[in-house]
Amino acid sequence: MNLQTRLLAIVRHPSSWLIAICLVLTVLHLRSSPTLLNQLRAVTMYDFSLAMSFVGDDRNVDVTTFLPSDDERQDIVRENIISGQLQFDDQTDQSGRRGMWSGDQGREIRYHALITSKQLVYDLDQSLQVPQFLPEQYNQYLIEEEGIQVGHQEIRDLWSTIQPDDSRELVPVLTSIYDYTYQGIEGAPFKGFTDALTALRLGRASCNGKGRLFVALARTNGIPARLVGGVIMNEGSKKTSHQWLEVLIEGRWVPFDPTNGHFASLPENYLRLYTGDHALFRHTRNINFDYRFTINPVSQSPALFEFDENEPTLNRFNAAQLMRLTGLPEEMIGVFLLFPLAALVTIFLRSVVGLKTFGIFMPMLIAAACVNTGLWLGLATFSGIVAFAILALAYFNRFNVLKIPRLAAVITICTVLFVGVLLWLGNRTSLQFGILALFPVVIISFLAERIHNMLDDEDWKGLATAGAGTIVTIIACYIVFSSVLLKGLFALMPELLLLVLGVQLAIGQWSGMRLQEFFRFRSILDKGPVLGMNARNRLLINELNSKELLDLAADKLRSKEILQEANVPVARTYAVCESFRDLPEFMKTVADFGSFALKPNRGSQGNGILIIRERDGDNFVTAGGRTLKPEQLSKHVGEILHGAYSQGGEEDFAYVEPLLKQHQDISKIADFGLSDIRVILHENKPISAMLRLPTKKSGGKANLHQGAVGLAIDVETGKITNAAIRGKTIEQHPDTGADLIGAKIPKWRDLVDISKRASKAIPLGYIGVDICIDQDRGPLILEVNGRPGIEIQNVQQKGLVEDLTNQELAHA
Amino acid sequence: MHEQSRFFSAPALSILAVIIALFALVAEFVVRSDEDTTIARAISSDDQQEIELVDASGLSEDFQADLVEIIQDTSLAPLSYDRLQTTPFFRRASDTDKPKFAAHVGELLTSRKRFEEAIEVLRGLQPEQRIEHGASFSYALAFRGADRIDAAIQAYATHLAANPNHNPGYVNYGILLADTGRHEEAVRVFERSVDITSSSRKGKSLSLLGQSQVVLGRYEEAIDSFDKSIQFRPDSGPTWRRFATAKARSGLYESGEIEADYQRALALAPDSAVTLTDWAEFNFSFGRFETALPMFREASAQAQNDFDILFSRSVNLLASERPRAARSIIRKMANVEMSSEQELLLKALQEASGVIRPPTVETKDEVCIARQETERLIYTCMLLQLALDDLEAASGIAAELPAMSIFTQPAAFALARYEYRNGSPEMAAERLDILLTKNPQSPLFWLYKARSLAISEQDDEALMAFGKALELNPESRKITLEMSEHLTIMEYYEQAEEVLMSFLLVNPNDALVLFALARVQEAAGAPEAAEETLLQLMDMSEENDAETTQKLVAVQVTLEKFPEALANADSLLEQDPANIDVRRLRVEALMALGEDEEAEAELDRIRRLEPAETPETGASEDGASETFASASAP
Repeated sequence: MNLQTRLLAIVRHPSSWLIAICLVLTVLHLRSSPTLLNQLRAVTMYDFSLAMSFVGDDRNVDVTTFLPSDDERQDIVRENIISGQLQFDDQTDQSGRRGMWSGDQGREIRYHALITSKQLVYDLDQSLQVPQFLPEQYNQYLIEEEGIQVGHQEIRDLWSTIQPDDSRELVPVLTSIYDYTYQGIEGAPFKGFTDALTALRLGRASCNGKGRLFVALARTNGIPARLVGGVIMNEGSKKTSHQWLEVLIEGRWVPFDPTNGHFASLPENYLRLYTGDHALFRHTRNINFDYRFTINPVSQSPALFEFDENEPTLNRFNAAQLMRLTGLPEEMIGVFLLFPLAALVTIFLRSVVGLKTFGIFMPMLIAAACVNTGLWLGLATFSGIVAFAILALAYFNRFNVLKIPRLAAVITICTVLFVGVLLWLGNRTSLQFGILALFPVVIISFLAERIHNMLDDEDWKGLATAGAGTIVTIIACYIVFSSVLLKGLFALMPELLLLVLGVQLAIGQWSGMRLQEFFRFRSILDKGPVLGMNARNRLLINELNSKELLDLAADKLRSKEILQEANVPVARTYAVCESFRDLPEFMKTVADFGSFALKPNRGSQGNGILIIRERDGDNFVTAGGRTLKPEQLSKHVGEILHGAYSQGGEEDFAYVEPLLKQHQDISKIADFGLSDIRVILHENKPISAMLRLPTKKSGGKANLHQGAVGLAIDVETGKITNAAIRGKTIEQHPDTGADLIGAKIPKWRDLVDISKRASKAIPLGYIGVDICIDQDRGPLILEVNGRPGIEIQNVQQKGLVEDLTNQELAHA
Repeated sequence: MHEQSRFFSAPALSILAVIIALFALVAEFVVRSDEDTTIARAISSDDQQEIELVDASGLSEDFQADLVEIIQDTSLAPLSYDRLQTTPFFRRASDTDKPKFAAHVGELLTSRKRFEEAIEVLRGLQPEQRIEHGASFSYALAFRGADRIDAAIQAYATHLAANPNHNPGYVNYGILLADTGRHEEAVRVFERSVDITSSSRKGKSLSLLGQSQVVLGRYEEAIDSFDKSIQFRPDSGPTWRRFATAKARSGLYESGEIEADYQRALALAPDSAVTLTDWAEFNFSFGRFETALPMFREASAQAQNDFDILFSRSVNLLASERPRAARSIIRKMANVEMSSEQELLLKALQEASGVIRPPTVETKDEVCIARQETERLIYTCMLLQLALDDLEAASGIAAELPAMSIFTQPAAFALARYEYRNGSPEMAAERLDILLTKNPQSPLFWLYKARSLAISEQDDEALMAFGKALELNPESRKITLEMSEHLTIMEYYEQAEEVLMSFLLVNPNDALVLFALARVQEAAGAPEAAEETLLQLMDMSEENDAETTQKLVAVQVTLEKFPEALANADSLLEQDPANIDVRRLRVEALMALGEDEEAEAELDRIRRLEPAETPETGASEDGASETFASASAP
């Protein structure tokens, strides 16, 4: 393909258009809002909650506390109060915003707010003077109060020892006071009220003692000062509040904290609640009052939130602002906006990298659910629920419960467990577990069922591969959902969704080999181009196999009928059970057979097939030696009818075939289970074939993924040219030690002829025909497969592409 | 099937994805770490009260230490002259040294703000002893610190008589006099200070002198003082601010020059709420209320709890006809620390603005009695008089404001507005004429003049006034709409359209102006253009305004576009089934289309909807009704 053609192909591609439109819109957008990129910077939001509890005993109870309010450094972005039937009122005055609750019903009050805050730093000019004459409204900040003994002799004496050379200079005076209260007074974890004199006399004090002493010393020097109370918003849960103070300088109240060493500055994480010397809580006596602050600082994109109305509007195209109209909380909006990108990451990991996961988008939903809980806690919760669901399944299995009702029961158990976890956690922490509700219990139940089946089949490798792929995908999606940058970008520039859509479509039209396939087929990569799953799906199955024919191939009974009509030999069908109404009759018929194979009509990969080798009275003995009672067999049929083994999960038929007797030439190599021969035909031409020999490890199933041996057959001669097990070349059968290479498949010409006739009868352009050579009846078609796997290439030690269409699928 | 490029192979795409992911992670890190959440403020001493302090270090170090020990001896507190004599140090000292030491103790106590004790110690000395030993300045400072103003004034006078070249004495004395409202004397004291000092100190004294001269209304002298002060201290933001304010008060300078000075003041002290407030008040005083709005907002953001700024901001909001915003600010003011005068001002504002209803005579009396010469109280007293509908008293009170007060023009405007609203447009126009001869730069003054003239049917004069108002504030929708309406009434349709179109050039999607345009076009006999405008208006919003749709129906009936008119009428009637006017238009359209039966049914609905006592031709002013009458006549 020359460059021009390739460029033309790219230009015609819808994803190219979408990406181009996105780029144009992005450029226009950036030109119209040049400050847009600056708005991506994260802000720290403090998730602040205060839980208060008490025992009212039906008495009328009053509780008052100070609640945060907006000022120049802190902004209450969102708040909510849960106090049941207690009456709530709030009032703002000079001291702050008082939240007041009263009533005789209730025992708990919860206040929750999302707060942003800024650091405040004052640069004080050294030439500032101690104020001489102040307006009368500031007199209240110079006088003595309870606990602040302004002008007391001991305070004066202290001042005379610490005063600077020139007590008219404001900064040196404040520095002396600050140095003394910060360093001269030892910090102590006193919980109660410490007045200025006590702090001075003990030489030890907590924040309130230090603050009062500072204020007393400042006022003694004629400098207006006042206490301030609040909370330091460090991550965690605590009962400690904090006090610092402010000094009036040039009409501004400048903060000082002699406890934690902040001179004329206040760190970002200080939350101001009140001004003045107040108690933080006031309540009716003897009510066992208790409280707790819980704080969780999180980085968030400012684009998701609506800040103070005085601030300029961030962006007129803010998608998050539009979505707020739906009433969704901001965190959920952030997650919602990133679903398309997380979906893109998921399909990239599946279609380009080749990861296998439990469910396609389930890892993405789990990652979304983990956003607010944190990844590890979320994963642990999720794993716990899945583990519990698996246990519940195993338990229900003992009671012979059918699959669908069993799943419904697991959903109920998961929901109950979930509510219990929420109740337990919700009462003990402030973590926002609400978003956990995203954990899709229905999907969890199906996942549990699937894992349970894999455990039953002892498919450890499949379990580990899918498990690891799921965890990697969850982590990747979690990183996407937690990104402040991406949330901001998609909120402010929703046109980027076009880019995501374009890339998603581009991946959908990409036929390259997956990264994982480079490892899987590493031994044959240098022997010619290899067919990957994407190319198989897009270029062979989608283009050559119609949906109707694929459906027909999946319907084994119907395809057997068609093959029979075309005189293609197939295994006989003894009995069919189409519904539960037929079940008693079906069981009666089955009771007459000594050995047989019970199969689901729409099963795949041998799932649900039960091989009954012999009878033990009324009971049935399986190929694995397990004895089943008639009701157990009946239950299995019931599960098949429920669709437990059908490919799409829909209701199914069960049917019974005679147990075939393997041809003696093949039995010589491995007399264990039933071998089959897979012939791949392209446009009715056999291009590759292999014999699948069961092993003990594969549990008697001719399934390569479960450890069966694959023998490469030369299509022209029917000779075995290579043998492999799980991609590794071998020469002897692992169980019998029989030589594998060089043998010839009996009746090969017939077999090729049958496969061609089958491909003609069911005209799939790309088809896998599974044939068994019965000792008595010769080659019989077991089933036709519209989506034959690509592992045959490892068995053949050669890629399929060359044989397919003269390297049209070739990879570099 | 096609060949795959190696650039699009899974390893290449995976590497690309990893690179993009790494970039994103770095960007994420930058976005998260580069948080700039600090508010940094500098507080300088420039605006601080410019008091000169005593320097208590004129004694040899040996004695200094002993005397410091005495004042730190708590058993002696509170110190007095007599108690001082009982100390071993004083008992040992010679009689000639005792006054010197006592004077020094007084200075030390003053510097430590133990003013009462300083007074008690220094009182024990003879005046000449205080002068001789340099304690007369501390004596005056101590009285000032103890808030004993008269004694302080006397002490300063005594000190300066003995030390006629002591500049700090003059500065402090001047400040004290100015603080207590004795600006005439303060000016003399500052003038003396200016005479005896040089360099930057002279600059400071000149600035203080200018400030008192402004208060006395001697603006030209003040401007001269500031001009000289700036030569000594060109980097003083506060002096530039005072300079600008003096120029503004003088009324002799162009706005541009004054604003340039305010800009300089802001450049030198960028965080100055005082400068922003002064600048905003300058605009307020000249009726440029809209211009002052953002300045007041910025000033109150910088000094959040400053009562004075909030007061000025709220009266500006009231003057600019934004009562709801004003009430919100006034409610906030209740949480600010206040002096007793400020409490009274707040009470007055609460009642004048409607935060507390109704206004009471008691508050009015309290405010008016307390007003004396305080401009803010005079202004609020006048507002309360108007709120109580006592125009005469309000006029009398307004006359008390000095000619160059920042409240003089707003007060006159408030009176004019009251007159206009209460049926005396001629008086309002007269009052506004006087205002506008002094200050032709206020769009709101011109607008009210135009309104008053329009009511008095002096259409041409009103038109000119509207034109002036619009020229001064071309972005005002209010003025644009009123002027176009006036032009329409005068049947100057083209001009009306022109006025609206020039507004729409800047704000093309202004619904109200577009609707007005449609009305003008309809009145001008251009229904096609009106229809086009109305359709444009309807396209702008999904939920169509009923008035717009009704107008469109009327226009379409006029244009004989009956099916369109019917469709629009139907959609409007879905929202407003009781709209009789539209139903009449519908009847007209139906009859024109020959659907007599439906027209009859519609008429029947109208009859049922219309109250029996209302005559059918009741709405004679309505164009739609007239159309109906003529259409239904046959």
